[in-house]
Amino acid sequence: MTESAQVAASLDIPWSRLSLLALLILLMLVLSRWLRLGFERPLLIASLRGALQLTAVGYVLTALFALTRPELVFTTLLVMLAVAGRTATSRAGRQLPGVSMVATLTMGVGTGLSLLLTTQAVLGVTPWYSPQHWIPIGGMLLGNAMSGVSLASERLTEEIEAKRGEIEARLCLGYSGHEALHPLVARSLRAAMIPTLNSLTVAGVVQLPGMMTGQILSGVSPLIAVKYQLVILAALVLSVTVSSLLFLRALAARHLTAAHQLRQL
Amino acid sequence: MPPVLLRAAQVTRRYGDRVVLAGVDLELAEGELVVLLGRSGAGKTSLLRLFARLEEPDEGALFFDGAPLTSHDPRALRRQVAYVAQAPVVFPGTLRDNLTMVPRGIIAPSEAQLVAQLEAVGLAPERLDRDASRLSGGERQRLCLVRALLMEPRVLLLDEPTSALDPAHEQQLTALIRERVARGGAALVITHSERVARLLAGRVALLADGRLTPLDAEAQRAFFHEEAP
Repeated sequence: MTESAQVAASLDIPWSRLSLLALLILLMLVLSRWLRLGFERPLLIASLRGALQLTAVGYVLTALFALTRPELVFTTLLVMLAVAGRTATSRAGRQLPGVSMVATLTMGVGTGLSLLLTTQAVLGVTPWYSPQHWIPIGGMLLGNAMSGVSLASERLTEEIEAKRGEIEARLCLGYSGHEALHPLVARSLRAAMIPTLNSLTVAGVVQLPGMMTGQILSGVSPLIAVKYQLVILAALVLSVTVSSLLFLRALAARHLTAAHQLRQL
Repeated sequence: MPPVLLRAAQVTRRYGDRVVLAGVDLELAEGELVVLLGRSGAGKTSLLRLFARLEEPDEGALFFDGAPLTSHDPRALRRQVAYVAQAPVVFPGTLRDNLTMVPRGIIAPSEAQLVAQLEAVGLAPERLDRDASRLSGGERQRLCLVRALLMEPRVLLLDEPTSALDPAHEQQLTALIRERVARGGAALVITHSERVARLLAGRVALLADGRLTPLDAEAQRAFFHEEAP
């Protein structure tokens, strides 16, 4: 057995112990029943779903890491991007057509840029398309960009609906469509950034960020784990900001006509 | 003959199945003031919004200064054809912030202009640095008119500019509008008040069933009599 295989074996949790988790869930099911909280069904479904999805992902990642083929890495990332694009805009009520495509494209640019910088310039991974780096980091960046775009989309749509009079008053002073929407775009961007900024503010104080926790648990020195976490946080800020801002500009443009009018929904 | 500043030719505007304007013709020459009457929902506001190019007609064409509205840059057009909506919009900040906000490339009005314009509508210039969100409904209305007048527009499109004003300010404001028109401008003013229509002393037109018809003094009296029984 090689050294790294030994480390891996010592870190592994046997399935028999892992199944103790099922007992915890069972305990909560009993509790919910006993206190008549009524969340047995959603808890059961969510737990099963989560367990199955994560197990499946474990096998898929193992296969991807073993194959180390660039086309597989990027196809996986594209599938993740497509799902994120659909999810980001699915909850915002009345939407203009094509908004989920806009979300997908802008998140692709924001996350792609951030991923390229992180993996190539900062980490310098080999091979350059190393699936161990591209896929997990890409997933983290996409997840956060998705929340950002989702918040941005909801906020801007609401603001435009509520502030039509204000926007048109600005247009009537000779402002361009984008100038007239700018204060709303800026407010929506700030709203989109709040979760990311909050997590930056409390990083290490209130909670150890997830990736750092994982690395420390698997035996990496905390100082190295911190360095990786800093890289990820910077990458997150970049991808959330770029994705949200591009998305907001594109969404604003969809609400405007070439004659600097606010489109009637 | 003074030049025609605004013209609508066979303008039709629909919202879904509802026809609000059905072939409206209107000419507004320099030095002319037209008072627009009509019941709520008759399409008065739509007509003003079309002239400010906030929306497009479904049929027909609109002209400013002899050229189709569509041939003007909408931003430049809206500084020459100033539309003030019925609900006054006050932006966050002071009165000064509200009056000096201009798009890039436009010079903000001078202190002297601000003071003169505020005095003309009966707002004390000492209040320039006060928070504009504290203004009353009538004061907001006057602030919005001042903001439009500071652009030195050639045409004023005013949607019930005096609806929240007391009689004294009503008189002051209508006099100001008349003076602007007399100095070579033009105005299209919506009102529901017989008194304001009389004070404005312009040509009166009634918008009903999507059509615009001129009203003589007697027909006006009949309209207001019916409106407020």
